[in-house]
Amino acid sequence: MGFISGVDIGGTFTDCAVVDSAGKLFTGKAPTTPDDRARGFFDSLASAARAAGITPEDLLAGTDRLLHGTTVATNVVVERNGAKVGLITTRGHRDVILMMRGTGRTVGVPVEEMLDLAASNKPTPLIPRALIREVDERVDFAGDVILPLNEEHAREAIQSLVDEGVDAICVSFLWSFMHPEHEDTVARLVAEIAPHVFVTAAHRLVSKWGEYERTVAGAINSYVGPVTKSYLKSVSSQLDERGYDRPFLIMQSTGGLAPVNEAEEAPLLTVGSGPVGGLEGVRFLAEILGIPNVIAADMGGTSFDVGLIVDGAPIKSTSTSIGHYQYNVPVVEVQSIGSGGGSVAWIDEGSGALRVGPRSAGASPGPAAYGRGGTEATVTDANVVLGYLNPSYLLGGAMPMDQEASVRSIGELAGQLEMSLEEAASGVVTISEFQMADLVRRMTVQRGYDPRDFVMFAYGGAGPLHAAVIARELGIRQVIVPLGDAAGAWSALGVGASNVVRIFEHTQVTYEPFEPGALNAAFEALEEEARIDLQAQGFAESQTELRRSAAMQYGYQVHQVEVTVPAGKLETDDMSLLIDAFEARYARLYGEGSGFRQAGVQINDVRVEAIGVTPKPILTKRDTTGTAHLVTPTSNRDVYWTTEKRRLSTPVFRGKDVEPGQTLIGPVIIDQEFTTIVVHPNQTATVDGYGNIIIEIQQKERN
Amino acid sequence: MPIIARGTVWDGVTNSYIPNRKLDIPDAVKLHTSASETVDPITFEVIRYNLWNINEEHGDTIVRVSGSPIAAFTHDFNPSILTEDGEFVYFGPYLQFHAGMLDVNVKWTLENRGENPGINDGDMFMANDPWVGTTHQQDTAMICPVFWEGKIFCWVGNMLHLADVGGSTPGSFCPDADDVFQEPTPTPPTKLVERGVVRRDIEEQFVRRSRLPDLVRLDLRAVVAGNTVARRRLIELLERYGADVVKGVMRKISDDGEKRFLERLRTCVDGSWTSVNYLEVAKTGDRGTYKSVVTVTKDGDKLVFRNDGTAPQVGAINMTYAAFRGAVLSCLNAYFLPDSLYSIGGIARHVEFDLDPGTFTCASHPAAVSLAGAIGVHLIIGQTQNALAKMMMTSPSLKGQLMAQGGASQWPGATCSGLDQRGAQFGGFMLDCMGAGLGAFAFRDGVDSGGLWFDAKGFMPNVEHAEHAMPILYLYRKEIADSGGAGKYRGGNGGEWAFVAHKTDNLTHATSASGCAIPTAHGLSGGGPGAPNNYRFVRGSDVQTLIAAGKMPNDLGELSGTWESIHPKQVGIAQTRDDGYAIRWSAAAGFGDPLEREPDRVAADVRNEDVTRDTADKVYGVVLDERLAVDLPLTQSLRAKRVAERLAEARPFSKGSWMTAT
Repeated sequence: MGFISGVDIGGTFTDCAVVDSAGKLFTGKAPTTPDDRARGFFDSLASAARAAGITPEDLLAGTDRLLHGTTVATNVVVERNGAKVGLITTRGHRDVILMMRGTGRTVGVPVEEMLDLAASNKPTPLIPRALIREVDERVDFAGDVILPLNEEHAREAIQSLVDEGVDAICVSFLWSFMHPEHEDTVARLVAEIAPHVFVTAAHRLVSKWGEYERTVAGAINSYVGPVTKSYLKSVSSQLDERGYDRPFLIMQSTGGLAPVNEAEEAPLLTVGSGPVGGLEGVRFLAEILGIPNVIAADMGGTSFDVGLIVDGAPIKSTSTSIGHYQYNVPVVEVQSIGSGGGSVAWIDEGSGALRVGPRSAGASPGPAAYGRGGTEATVTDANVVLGYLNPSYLLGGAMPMDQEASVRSIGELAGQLEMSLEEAASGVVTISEFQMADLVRRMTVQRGYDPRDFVMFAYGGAGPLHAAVIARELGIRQVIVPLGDAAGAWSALGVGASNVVRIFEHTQVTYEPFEPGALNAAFEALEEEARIDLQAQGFAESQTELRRSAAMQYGYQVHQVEVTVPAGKLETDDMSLLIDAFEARYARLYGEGSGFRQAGVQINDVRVEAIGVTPKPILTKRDTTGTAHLVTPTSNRDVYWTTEKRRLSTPVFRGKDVEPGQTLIGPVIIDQEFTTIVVHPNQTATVDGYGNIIIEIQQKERN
Repeated sequence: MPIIARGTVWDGVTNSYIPNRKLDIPDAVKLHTSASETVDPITFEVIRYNLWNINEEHGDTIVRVSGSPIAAFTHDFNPSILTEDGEFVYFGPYLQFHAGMLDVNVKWTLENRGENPGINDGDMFMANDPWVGTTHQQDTAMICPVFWEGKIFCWVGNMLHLADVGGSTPGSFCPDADDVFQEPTPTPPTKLVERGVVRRDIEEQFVRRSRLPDLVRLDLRAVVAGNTVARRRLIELLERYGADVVKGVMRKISDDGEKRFLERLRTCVDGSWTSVNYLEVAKTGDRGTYKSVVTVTKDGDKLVFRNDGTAPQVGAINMTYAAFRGAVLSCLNAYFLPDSLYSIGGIARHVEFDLDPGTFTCASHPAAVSLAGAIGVHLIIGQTQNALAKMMMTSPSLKGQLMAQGGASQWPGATCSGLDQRGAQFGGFMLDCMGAGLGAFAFRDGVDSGGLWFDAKGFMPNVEHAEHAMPILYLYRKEIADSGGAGKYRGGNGGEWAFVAHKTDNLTHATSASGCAIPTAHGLSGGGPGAPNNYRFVRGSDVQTLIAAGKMPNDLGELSGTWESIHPKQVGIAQTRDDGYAIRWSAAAGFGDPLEREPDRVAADVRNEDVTRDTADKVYGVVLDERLAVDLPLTQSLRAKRVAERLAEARPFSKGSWMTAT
């Protein structure tokens, strides 16, 4: 049958997207089951099977590749209910993970809160000092062994941790990426002495310098390891029972898939992978539409998440953090602010100003409109008051909203502010939209990009409600709401459209003039590793892409820039080309003339991104030539438009009624099952052949 | 007109510049002063958020273009937006003590540059004169008027620490200077950018002083770029909302901050509170100690800071008024307005300074002041914290906000130079003490290795980065048990790093510190002090023999060799692979009587090796059993005994005699 099936577990729903060999897409949805997530996994598969008109057994039997995004590991860290972990480290350095480089109070904390000293603290240690053991061993910066590993110490350390009842052991030594043997030996000893204990050698996760971040990576991997492994084992064994024996791949925060056995050993790479599926979906669609630069804006109930795609590839960050702990794994970068439908609007007593967020009413009690006892005004309530949201059509009518409660909550604010109900509601929405616009602005401008060179993709329950204003503020000309068949299971489709990606990297600091021989040797070694890895996963040479890059910087300056390195044997001439490429990229990112050339150029890390190209879903495109026409709305509703400062009777369409080729002139509202699209006055929305809604923004008008 | 008080002219020449409330601005300068009285709360919030973001983008731009570790790692800079007459609107989340600097530079420029060379649209002024407004000469201000319809609407500006601006020592910290003439030449506000064009002559004149001219030129470009971005975005804001509306928002931001500050201040009683501290060693070779006094007086809605009783200016440890004020304002901001997005202007309206000129914390020209950023500012921050904390203890609502002094209350400066492991010349500045702890609060413990609070975005280097950059091999880097001040709530522990020379024949160190002989982080309400800085050095030791035998020492004290005492401002300390060198950074102070600490917390600290068993007994009066659990009956009787001993030792207090009463 040749199905590709993607399953993505979110906070509320587990989605499934199945594409058959003809490219036809079927989607399924089932509630997420936190007590045993495997159940929701199989429920969503069954739901997709129903949509395809086949049995769940037939679906599995026909699936060539099963792809999965899971938040199990992320939840373990957020909820701090992971394994009891022991750490074995170099004598003299047991406090590395406790001192946290002095950043334990501040990493991940918004600057607005950093000055509140009394409210700031370090997290409870992932590994308490009592479970840290030092052993004699030492390697220097060059990888030379200064003090050989004392295996006897190591055995004693392991035994004492096992006696303490640890579930997992992390081994992390100084400079282990220059000389992995010591960590490998201790990991082997752990497997020998305590085969039931989950073991992580830090250098296998991060083969780069920075002992704190490397140790954190190893520690988090150990912390989430036992739970994640048992979850994945449970799904795998149930798949086995059902006769599924083809690849089962897991989504990673690095932006690609990994085979389940690798994910079981390196579950760290699934931490923070939640938003990556959606972003991969955007990348996939943008590629089909021929759009190279995308701002992907996902707004849900509690946060507004932004990712960037530049020249067809998601922007990655070399470092990430969770729960104040920082680690250096290249992850697809998604930045968030606490600005969502549930963000609470409040009046700042000191100034009398109207503020929105960052506190959220969450799912419970949620916005006043949810009728679950919430009385505080939220962005969602403001949207109800303005008429953007149809109170009887949330989740397609499955969850009716209490309009009166929204009016009450916003009314109370309006009273305090001495303004009309609509003015207050429009204020709440405007402030929230400006916050989102500022996040997008900083994400682009900080990296040397101009937001006007991007198209915005808006998704998530509340994204399409606000995208048009955010875009207008930033000079973005086009907003695309990805819809059509894929809308209901966007992240699952993204997971299904992803490639297998694994990053092989190594810190190898070298200075100009660069020696081609040394670079060739380094890249060839990484590529050899990469090829073996992809071959083992069944990728033929033709399905394999290896992309070389080098992380480079000027001698004195700290900004590290990733530069593409050509394939094949590098010659002396290539060295100056490499420096030219670095200089051009540096100037592009940090401004013309901002490079300190006099300090020389250095290469820090060499990197090979190994991509196993998977077959992609084919989305069907309807021919829209000659079909452009105006349609009549299903209804009208009074909507308050901020630019007009009054209510207008506004045409409203149901999502299922808008057809490819149609054009809608704003103001207009499109009610979808899972979202609502707001097209403002002077904006035009068209439906393309895939069913996406494309909003054109006139850049002259501003409120 | 400069302030003239008690016979001193505060004009920025011999003594620091202190502006009058009413500035003496020449007629040639036109200020935009009109402001909307009523801005609706939504427009207010949108513009407020925009102003904050403009300032953040200003900071981002400096980090991006400069790319220097000073800007990007230690965050030794800060961008600001100020009103037309130089009052702070927003200040950035970077190095906090720059808070006292830019407003005085703007005011000085308005008073002194308005006619000659004039203040025009597109101009920017550069300044690093400690008697006008900078911590020390490395911290260079760049201020830029934003014009609207021919008038100065507001100012944007920044201050950035430049890597080298001249003087006797690389890096421009000059521990051996007798006066400012042996240090980098101060530059009063000088027009570097004229109507949008950088003046080459001025730039060359400034850059020429530096050992790193290209780098300084690049950093100047970065700060100019930061101002340019901020000015452009401000003008967009004016075009969109109108100048009067934006000005109304600016006024209200400071008014709100002021209102909030006063509400909180009024919960304290009126009175005076004093903090006394001592620095040792004024310059290389000196052996003296020097008293510093900070007194804060709350008189209604006014806070007055004094330093009478402070030793005369001496050697290289001096600071000027601007640095003193910056230290004070950064504490007030964190203690009183942590929820107001670094809006310091409203506070500054109610703070006055009545400092004695010619003292080492308010030095007159030509005192040597280049160390002020590492010594004086840290000293005054700590003393201000202490004096304010005593005042805040009179307020039930503010008590939760005060904090005992943090670690690195004096910075244990450690620089090195020579040939690195690759045979190239190098110079290094060790930053391990960026991990200094937080002091105790009135309701909870401080934070071990919690980070310098007034440089929240800074961090300590990895050992691997340090070993790559410098030819050294760390023996260890660890927190030190018992170092945090004892108390009902314990101060954060400090730490120590130890190393030998590695793969080099040429490594020399210099030190620059105080707080080695005398602890500078004082406890509150009976809490103990943080342990002091400490340099230990053992020459010709057996360290390599031990390592060869498979044993890495756990502490420098395990080594045998010739122990040398290191002077806190010593240069030329040569180190080989056989010489062990350990540097301990001072720890944070405690709060409250250690005998009142919950015994279980003491037991937990002992189990976690944050406190030793010996200290649990001697300081906390807590008796632990063999499983390190509290023996409550024995603890209670031991504590009762300790109290009785204290009472027996107690002497009646009589003024003037307390120093000798033992």
